Amino acid sequence: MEQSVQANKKFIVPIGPQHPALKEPGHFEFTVDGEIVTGATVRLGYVHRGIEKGCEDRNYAQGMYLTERICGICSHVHATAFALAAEQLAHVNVPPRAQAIRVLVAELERIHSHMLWLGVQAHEGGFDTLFMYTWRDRETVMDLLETLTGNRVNYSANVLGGVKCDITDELASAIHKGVDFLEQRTHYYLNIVTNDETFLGRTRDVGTMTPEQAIRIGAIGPTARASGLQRDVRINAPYAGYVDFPVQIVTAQGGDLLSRTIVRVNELFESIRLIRLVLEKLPPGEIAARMPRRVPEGATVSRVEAPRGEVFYYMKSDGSDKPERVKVRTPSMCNWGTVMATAVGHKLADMPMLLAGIDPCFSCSDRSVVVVRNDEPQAMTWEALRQYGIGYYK
Amino acid sequence: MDPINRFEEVSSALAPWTRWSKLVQSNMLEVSVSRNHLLQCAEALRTMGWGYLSAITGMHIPGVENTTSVEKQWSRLDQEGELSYRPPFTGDSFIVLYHFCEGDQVLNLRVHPPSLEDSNVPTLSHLYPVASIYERELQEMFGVLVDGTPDPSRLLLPEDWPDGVYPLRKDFKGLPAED
Repeated sequence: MEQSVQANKKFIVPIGPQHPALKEPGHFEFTVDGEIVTGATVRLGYVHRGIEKGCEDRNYAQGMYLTERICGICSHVHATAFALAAEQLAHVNVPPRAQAIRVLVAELERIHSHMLWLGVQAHEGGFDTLFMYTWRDRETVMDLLETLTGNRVNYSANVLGGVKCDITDELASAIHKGVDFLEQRTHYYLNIVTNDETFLGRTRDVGTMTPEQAIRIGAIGPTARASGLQRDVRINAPYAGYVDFPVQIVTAQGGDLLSRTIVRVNELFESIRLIRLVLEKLPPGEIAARMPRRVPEGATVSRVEAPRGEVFYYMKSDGSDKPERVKVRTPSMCNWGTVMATAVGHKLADMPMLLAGIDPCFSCSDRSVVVVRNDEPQAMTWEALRQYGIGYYK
Repeated sequence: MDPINRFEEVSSALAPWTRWSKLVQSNMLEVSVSRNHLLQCAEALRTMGWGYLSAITGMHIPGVENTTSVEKQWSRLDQEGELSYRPPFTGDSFIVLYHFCEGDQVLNLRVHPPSLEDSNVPTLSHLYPVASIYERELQEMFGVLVDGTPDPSRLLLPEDWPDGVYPLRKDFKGLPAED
């Protein structure tokens, strides 16, 4: 009798809220049967700051700087989405040079974000050498961003109506030098992630998502492209300078963690190509247009491809100098569903890499992991789970 | 495919349930439907493979005050295009927008329940699993009740957040200071 009751009990392993991945707060609960995960839930909000509400009390210029602080990794993306929506409502034509510089900063940011992610993914798998290498090399692009905008993060490259920083010849040659080095390093990373048996052992056929599943769950960004979906806002709905500097889509067919890694590494090459193209064909002219303080009544949407996928902004104006409503939907929100769906059937030891595999951004979606075992929630810190995973595969 | 054709296609598919529709900008179509028909519309979109559910936006619309002249209210309502079914004197209400994206086009399905008290909308999570997360957000931020949503627990707000306080409503000006 007692035994059968025991058999019906589920193990729930709680993980977090501190540092579930990427050293940010979130809380996950994995229900496990022995070693195999049978269910997963997420609880976010540990870094919820009420930015949507905050935007309603600030004018458009202030709002842009506030939304830029939604995420420290893809800050430029948020500011761009905000600026594009406000400019659309105010019927402001942004000069082509400014739009091209927005693309340049966005692609530099994508390089920094993907390299950061590759390091984290390697770290979760216990491959700390690769982690050190990628983060060391990432300093190159951080330095470039700092030289260009004055800031390592929260660059504030945008102003409403354009950008604040111009590209000089000196800067252009520094960027060329930087991306040459990064390109050489990216070849090295691609070789490692596709040939290193340790890395392959942890990523191949882990968290596989078929294109049909990806569509049904609503995956976006590199997570969707790794399942072969042609989903990239830069291509589907070109914004800013992407009309003049078209992107070639990077996809993979595997749908597993390996494919997600390959897609991101290949996107590094694509970003480097775009950066060179922008520098070569940078349109002359002004870098900002005048933006009125009051924005005419109306509503619009703005979609921007962040390193993690589509960022969606809905903005409604009531004719005053403050937006009536700003809705932000960040890519991590969509991709949580993919983790929750693909986690089932996998070993608990795979969870760190699977979670990190969507490149979750907690500030983005705002947000630990819980594994339920024998009905008694047993909280694991992310570090404990990571060590468990590494130990399991040793 | 030609952009306009995609909108025409969707307009005709949604026609049986459309109250009004408006091309807000060249790539954004807003279609107002009754919440009773929301499920049919979402199902039609899914069957024809039109886009994916990109976001759900909630909006708190403060009621039209009686001090403004009736003409003004009518003209405002006229701009909103809802003259046909909304009375000039209204209390607070919610508008819920379901944003579907297809290529560079965005379709907003607009649902406008009559009042704050009667603001239930049906869940779309069985059609679009991603909707579950958006619906949790909508419930806790506005107090719009989503009927049948699989996980009605809080997603973003802290555990000790008081019940019945919805931060994205226009009348929310912060929690009272603690003693």
